[in-house]
Formats: sequence, structure tokens, C-alpha cells
Amino acid sequence: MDKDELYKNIIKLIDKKYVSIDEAVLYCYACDVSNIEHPPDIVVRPNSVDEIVKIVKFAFDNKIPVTPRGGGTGAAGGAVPIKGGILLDLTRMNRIINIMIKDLQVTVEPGLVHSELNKILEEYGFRFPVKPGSSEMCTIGGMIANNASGMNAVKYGSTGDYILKLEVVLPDGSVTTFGSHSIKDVSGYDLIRVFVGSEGTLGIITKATLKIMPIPDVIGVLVAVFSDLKDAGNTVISTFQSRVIPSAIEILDKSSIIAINKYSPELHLPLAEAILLFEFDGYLDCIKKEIEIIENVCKLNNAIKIDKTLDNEKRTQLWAARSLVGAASNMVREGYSRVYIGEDIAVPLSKIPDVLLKLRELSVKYDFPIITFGHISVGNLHPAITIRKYEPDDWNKVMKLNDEIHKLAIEFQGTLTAEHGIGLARAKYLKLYTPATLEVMKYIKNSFDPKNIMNPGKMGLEE
Amino acid sequence: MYKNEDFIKELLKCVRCGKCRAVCPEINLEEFQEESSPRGRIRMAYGLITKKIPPTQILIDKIYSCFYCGICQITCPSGVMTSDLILKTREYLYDLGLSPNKVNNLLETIIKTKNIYGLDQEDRLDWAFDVEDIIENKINKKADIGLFIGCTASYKGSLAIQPESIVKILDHLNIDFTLLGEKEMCCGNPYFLGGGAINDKIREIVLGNIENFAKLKIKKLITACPGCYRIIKTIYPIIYGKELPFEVYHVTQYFDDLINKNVLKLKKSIDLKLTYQDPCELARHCGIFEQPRNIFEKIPGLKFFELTPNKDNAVCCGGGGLVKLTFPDIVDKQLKVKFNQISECNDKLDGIITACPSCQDNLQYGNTLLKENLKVIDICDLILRAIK
Repeated sequence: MDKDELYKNIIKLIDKKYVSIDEAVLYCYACDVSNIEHPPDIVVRPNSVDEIVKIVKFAFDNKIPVTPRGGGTGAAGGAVPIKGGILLDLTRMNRIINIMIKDLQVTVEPGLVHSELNKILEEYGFRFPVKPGSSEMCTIGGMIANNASGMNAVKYGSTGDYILKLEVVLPDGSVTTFGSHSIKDVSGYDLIRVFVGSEGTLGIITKATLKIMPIPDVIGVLVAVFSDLKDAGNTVISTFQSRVIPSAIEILDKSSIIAINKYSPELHLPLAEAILLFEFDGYLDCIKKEIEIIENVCKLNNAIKIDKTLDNEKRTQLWAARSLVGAASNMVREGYSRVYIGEDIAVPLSKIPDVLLKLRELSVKYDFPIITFGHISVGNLHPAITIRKYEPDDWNKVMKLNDEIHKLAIEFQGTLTAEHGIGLARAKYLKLYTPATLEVMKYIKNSFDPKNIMNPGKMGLEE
Repeated sequence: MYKNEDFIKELLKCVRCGKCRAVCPEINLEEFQEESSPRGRIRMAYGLITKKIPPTQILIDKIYSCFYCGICQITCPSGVMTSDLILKTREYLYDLGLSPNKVNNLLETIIKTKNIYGLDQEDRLDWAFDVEDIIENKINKKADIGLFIGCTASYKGSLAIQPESIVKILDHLNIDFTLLGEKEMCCGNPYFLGGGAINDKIREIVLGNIENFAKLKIKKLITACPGCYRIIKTIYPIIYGKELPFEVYHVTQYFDDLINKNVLKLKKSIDLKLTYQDPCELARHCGIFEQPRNIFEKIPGLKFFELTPNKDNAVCCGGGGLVKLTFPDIVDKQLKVKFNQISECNDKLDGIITACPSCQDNLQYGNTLLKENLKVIDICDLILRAIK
């Protein structure tokens, strides 16, 4: 079906104000944060489940690809309509349907932005505790579809840990719900978990009931500087052995420190091998005790400088360095800017120092600045590779580097992606490194979507 | 002003993280359309310049519907000069003859009549009806202080209070000053906002303004318009090819300095509860946040309440970027947002102070549009009230 005919059909289903085949609009919706691009044939912006049902039924009958999209903050091409077809922008569906504080849950539409949800919940003293770096832009639907997490995953887990109930539109246009309003539920297969992280390949999430948690009373921060990477790694392991679970432990390796000092010299970060940033949350007495314990842990592991605070303003200052890493990575070498390639590997905690050293070697080998930081508490590293985006040779080289980084993660018993997803960016590695998993995934995909209309071409499902 | 190759490199700095999407006022007005976000505009600009997409009407509309409020630019973690790149894209479209007719007419008017309204230059002093006796011997006379009035305050009667107040304050302080009167020409800001590039025609106007003031041997140029201030401060030296022969100040900087030196004394109590609209071109684009607040602090009796958010994160009133000319319906929507924000500030608020004729004009229009009765007070008028 050509675009004009598609348009004529779709505007019978939804107000044409929310439908576009304009080339510039299609171009805007052709990408996410990754380097993967492909325009849809049409952008449709529904505002209700009924509208989605009509569109999906039409797509099912005509075998037209449908790719759902939230805030477009994905880093693996998950929401890029690689086979064209219908791009479903769900950001208009951003309502909070029901807040059930006594039952520790909230029901929302998929287009609601994470930070907007937490602004509302804050009034009740609660929050949806998973906090991705893209909190101000990413949507709840996208978080579920990618099983997003963030810095506090060590204590609060990932999005999937909080989904009580899901309403989904299946590829044939039927609407179904999984789960219940009970916080514990083992009635049958955990089909919520099948949809969590499915990246829009099985259906469209139209409503989600999320478990919520109380906002902690106090937040404390401790920053420790190390002259040896291995000491920083050992500190993380010792932290858990000391029976403390911080709400976050982040690492800035030497490359990040250099980058931040270039970007924000006034921060005067010590040019060390690594800096660990710990966050603790809970009641004051408890946090004081935890900070005391971790301070000792850091000292025992040869930290050369330790700073700590319970003061909000000082906490912001201490965390300033972490929040600047993304920006700083563009400043390391003139003309080089960040690409989201090989940016989300995870390895067992004990392997982190070795992996960081390997990444440094790769940076030298390929002559690309790689600025490495990440959620060390869960072994999740974010190497920020920077290249000259306008140089085709750089793109060729960085794809080889991409292969090496993912191979490295697997060799160290880790994984391709800890929180960003497979999408298309990592699809080939799924086949290469976990072929058996992929076969089961294909079976599940075929059961839900025999016509393969939902976000086709992703996760290696067609390989 | 970039060459095309540099322009593309700047556009490529965008990593599409979407931080700008979270703060842009327009994306909320346009129901979260990606093409209405700064990220979307940067993406379309890249597609356009690299010929990957044609200049569709939607693309043109979106490039010309940006308020130029700058919040995307200061929020960008990758240092992308988003607002400026959008202006550069306007320049590209204007060169192709694809800019909106209203914009084309404005740019032609500026070149032809030396002001934005197409009115006679002879009428430039209409605002001075009440201060004729003060200024009659000051026009085009040598003095240390030069006043640049700007087109909006010069021609729009409802805004005359601003230059009038400045003149009265300077007169009260016995500070000699000069102004160009009929010789003052448009600063060029609307020309550049519309997508006009630096060319011989605009250069002639800019150099005319510089040379006319240089002849009067002024040491300091004072303007009350943030748009004029930004352009004279940042673009004039580029066009002039060297440092300007005078220093450039926004009136809030100048009066704050006079207050600090105890030259300007604010003694009269003003028993009002007021808030302040940070003008985008003054605050975010030029970093002038504190001087107006220092002034409020020195006014006896004045109870000042900050809007939330403010300063760096202030909410644009919608009066910038020529959107009022091209898409007035979008400005109307933004005014509703602005008035809501003001109403949440303090329920006993007496009014809002501005330091920008465009904000003042737009907020006054907002009163009519929304049937509100918000007092909109120019900062110079406020200062004058506090000394007399």
C-alpha cells in the first residue's frame, strides 16, 4: 500500500490532525538516540485504546508493520521503524488513570513521562523508584518495553520489578490484560515478564499498573577517590560484604575524570584512576551508620580521598561530576561527538577493573576517545565512544570497535545490554552469543504475532 | 554565523537525548509532536541542509514557530547551540526564498524604512511627547551616555512609558545623555531573527547606528530592549570588525550600577507585591538575571515574589522569535501557560515587572486575550516611581 493510500485509510480511523506523511515529520520519527535510521511510511498519534485497536486491526488485515514509540530516547533503534509502516507515537496518551496510595500502586497510560509521574506521586510522599538517566524524557511505556533501570538499580531493581498489571493491544487488535492489582501474583505464566523488555515486538502496552514506593526520608552521599582501579573494584565488592546496600554506586574512570575536568575545570576533580560515588537513602540514623561503614570500607581499600554529606546542596555538588559526564564526552577531542555504540555492557562485579582497562586499550587501538562511567554496583558500564560523525571512515572503524566491546562483555561472562535493550543495534550479537535464547524468543514472537507486524526486524527475530 | 560545513558539524553534535524536549515550551503546546521539539527541529535542519528531505511546509512552519527562548540551548548537555542553529536554518530558508511572506515583508520593511513598522523615521520621537522639554537639546549632541530606544518602544504608544521613564530618571540625576532621534535605525535583531544574514544592506544600517553614536563620542550605550542589547553587544562588533567605540549596557545593568554607587537612590516606598518576568533574550541569552533583582531588593516596601521556575528556567511569555508575527495562535496558547504560572505565584500579587518592551506588549495583550487584569509594570517606570 503506498503512502497516500495508507493515509486515506488511516484518517478514516483517527483525526487527520494526528496523522502525517510529511517527509520532514517522517524524518523526525526515523531515529532514536542510536545511529540506526529508517523513516516510517506514516506517523499516527493516537489518544485512546480504541484508536490503537482500530489502527492495529487495520495493520493486521493489511500486514503493515507497526512500531510503537514513546519519548524516542532509546539507544538501540528499538523504536526505529526499520521496515517502514506505521509509527505509533504514544506520547499523547500520558494520563494518570488512578493513584492507589493505600495499595501502593498507580495506573498510567504508556506515554506518561517518568519524571512527570514522580512529580505527582511526590505530593503523596511516594515515587516510582526506578530512575533512568532519561527520566525527564522517557515514557513509562518505553521503560516497560525496554525494562529500563538506572543508577539505583542495585537497591530498587528494574522497571519489570514494578509492573503489577498490563493492558496490551495484541497484533490482531484484541485487547487483553495480564496480572492483577495484587502485589504478589503467580497465577499462571508471568506474561507481564514476557512483555517487559519485548521492545514492541509482541504488542502495544496501553495501560500499566505500577507498584510504587515511599520517598526516602534522607539521602546521603559519599565520594571516594582511588589511585588504583582494582581498589575501586574491590571497594564495591567489600561494600556488599559489609552488609550495606547503597541506593547507588557509580564509577567515573580516569577517562571520565579527564573529560569532566576539561568541561568543568572549576570542579577540580583529582586526576585519579577512579572515583566512586555512593548514594544512601532511608532514615537518618541508618544512613549515618551506613556512611560510617562504607567510609571504613573505602579506607581499607586504599581510597586516597573521601568526601561525604547529608546536605542536599552539597550532595548536588558532589554529584555534579556524574551528571556532567555525558556533556563532557563531547568536549574531549575537538570535532568528536558521542555515538551510542557498545554503550551498555554489563559484567560480573569482580571483572569491572579488567574490563575498564580493556576499554582503555581499545580507545588507544582505535584512536577514539572512550569516556567510561557507569552503574558499577550492578556491573553496568557505559563506554561513551566519540567519533567524527561526518567522517565515513570513523563510522567503519567504530563498527569494528562495536564488535570488540560486545565480544569483551561476553568473554567476561557478562551481557550485551543491561538497560538499553537489543533493538537493531545489538541484534546480530544476540544471534552470535545467545542463539538458544533467540530460538525460544522466535517461538514466543510467532505465537503472539504470526504475521510479524509488530516492530519487525528487531532483536534478531528474523535472522 | 557558520559556513554550511560548520553548520552541519554543529547539527551533528546533537545526540538526540531529548533533554530539550523536556523543557521546550512549544512541544507541550503542540501535543508532544516530535517535529515541534528542539531535537526535531535540529533533525529537520540536518535533513534539509544535507538534502535528505525537502523543505516541506511543516518544516518551514516549525523552524519559524520557535520562540527563540533559549531554554533548549542552556539545557543541552552536549553543548548544541540549538536556538542559534534554528536561526541559521531560518537563514537557509530565507536564502531559498522559502521563509513566510510575513517574515519577508518584515525584512524588506526594515531595510527600506529602517524600522520594523514601515513608519516614517520622523515619527521615531513620538514616544517623547511628555519629555520633549528634557530631550529637545539632547538629540544628536555629544554626551557620555547614548540611549538606544529601539523600534517597539519608539513607535508603540503603550510602551512609551519605558523610554520616558529612563529619560526622567537620567534628568533627575542630572546625567547628560544623547539619543539619535530620527537617525536611530532598527538594531537589526528582528532582521536576524527572521533569517536575514549579514549582508551589505543590514551592514549599512548597523554601521549607521554605530557611526552615529561614535560621532557623538558616547562612552556608554544604554538600551532598555533586550533584543537590541543582545544584538548590539554580540553581533555589532562582528559587523564592525573590531571592538565598538563604546560600552553597551542594558538599562538594568546601568541603573543597578548607579544604585550600587549611591548615585541613584530609591527612597520612596512602593507597597506592592510584584513578580518578575525574566526576558529570554536578556536572561538566558545574555545572562542578566541578578541586576533586576538587585534593583527590586533596594526598593522600599516592595514585596518581591519569584515565579516558579525563574531565571535560567523561566517560562517564556511567547513574545519572542517573531512567532507573534508568523503564528499568533501559538503565542496565544503560550500566554495561557504564562498567565497560569503567574496566577500560581501568589494569590495576592499586584502585578508583574518586565524589563523588555516585547514581554510588556505581549503580557498586556495577554490581559485582553484572557480577560485578565494583570498589572504589567516596566522596570524603569518602577524605578522612577521609587525616586519621585
